[in-house]
Amino acid sequence: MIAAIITALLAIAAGLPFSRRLGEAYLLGVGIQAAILCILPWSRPIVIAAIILECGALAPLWLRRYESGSKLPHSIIDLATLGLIAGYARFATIASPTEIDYICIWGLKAEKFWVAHGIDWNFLAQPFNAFAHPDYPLLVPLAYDFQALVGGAWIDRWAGALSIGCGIAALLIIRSELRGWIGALAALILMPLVFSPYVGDAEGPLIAYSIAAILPLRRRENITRCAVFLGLAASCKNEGLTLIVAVAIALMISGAKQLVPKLWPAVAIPFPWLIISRLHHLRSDFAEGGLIGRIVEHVTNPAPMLQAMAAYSPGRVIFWIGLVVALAIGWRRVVGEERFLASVIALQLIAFIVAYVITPHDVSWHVRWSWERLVLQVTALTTFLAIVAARP
Amino acid sequence: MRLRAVITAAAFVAIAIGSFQPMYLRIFAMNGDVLRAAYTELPYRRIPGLRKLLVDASARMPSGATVALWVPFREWEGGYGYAFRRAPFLMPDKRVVPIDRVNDAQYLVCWHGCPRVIGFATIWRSPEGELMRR
Repeated sequence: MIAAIITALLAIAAGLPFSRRLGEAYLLGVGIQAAILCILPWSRPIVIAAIILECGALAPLWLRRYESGSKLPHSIIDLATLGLIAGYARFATIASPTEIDYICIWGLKAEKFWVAHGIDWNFLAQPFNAFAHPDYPLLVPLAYDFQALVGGAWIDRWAGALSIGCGIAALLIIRSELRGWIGALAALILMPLVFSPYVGDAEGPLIAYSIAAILPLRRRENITRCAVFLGLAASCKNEGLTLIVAVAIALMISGAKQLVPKLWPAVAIPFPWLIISRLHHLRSDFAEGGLIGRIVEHVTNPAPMLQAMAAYSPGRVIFWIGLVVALAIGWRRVVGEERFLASVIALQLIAFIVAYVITPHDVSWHVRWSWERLVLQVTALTTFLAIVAARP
Repeated sequence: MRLRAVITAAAFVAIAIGSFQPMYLRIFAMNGDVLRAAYTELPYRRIPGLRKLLVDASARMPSGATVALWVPFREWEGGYGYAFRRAPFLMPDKRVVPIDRVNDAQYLVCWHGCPRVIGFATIWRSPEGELMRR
């Protein structure tokens, strides 16, 4: 019922481009499905009934589409984007995801919960399962479980479907932000950045929720709905929590501090998990003792961290050159009308570096195995910023 | 203005080239079965046969069984962690415990043969390893 009502509200939201409504409906639907599994029994009939309710609620979206005559934006360039999406879909679902974080964290938890038909607190509480990061939020594993419940079986390779869905949703939202050929071009360029190569990991959903939350906030539109997506981002990965802080500070930097209280859903959505996980003594490895010592060590000797960042720099050099040039060309827009987006990206990057400063692990090891993934979380937003800043 | 347009176009082209993933096109020409088999083994490639061993052994244990994992690497970062972290995913309905908690285990799965463990007897063996029961 909650799913149906919220989705209906989203579907009939006035004035939104159809493509964005579609993208947002998918992302919200994934969040609602995860919430359903936290509340309702893990029973196939119940879950299917919830879907039917949701689909019924989605009907106004389609009706409205025909009433308003709005169309999905399209261009010849979109055919190339569609070709790449089809290739990604094959890549993402051809086998069980190969990412180690899927096997040790996201997919593993989903499988354990699937077997237990609920959150397996016993598994999460075992100290020898600390490698599974029991404190991480559960939206992504629960989304996999929802798929399994609906399908009636656990099929590893269908984890890729979430990555595909999130990628399409993110691209639809981007497409709604930029009209005409520039929008089609942006979608083509951004496709490989929003369709996460880390299939099965939480990066894909996190990127999609970040885009859904942050792009409309540039124009201070639909603050509450943006905050909901921000909360869902924080329910994917802990980096989503720092993103909430980054958005709040960026709003202040860009002269919209009066909007910060309206972000309350962003805090309210991940808050129950933060409380429940602490009650179950599921602690982040960052919370290990000796925090001050680690900070002092890494601040006074940043060379290992910086060397590792240089050694394991993400992406291709030509990409970063193009990005820097585009940002330089459009610097007036970056510091002016796009100051909010630029601030969010900068603050989130600072948060990533702070995580390395306080890491209890060997910092070179930590950077090596996470830097590329972390940077990917903001690469699509940064590229979007470069495109809107440098466009004619 | 014209120079700016040229540089902007060049920057966009550089971004597009840099972000492009040729795999998403190449994959249409690849043999799906071969690729699937390769991807399935990829996460376990450093301990050949581990995936098959754990899947086969899991099928021979009751759901909910507690199982310890033995591989001939004792250090967590020296190979044991590699195997242990992957085991629960392949045996989701089992409780996998590290070898130092073998006393809690009802079963013992060993990659490439088990050492002598008091109280355990072999119930199944394959080229990839062995399964023992208490």
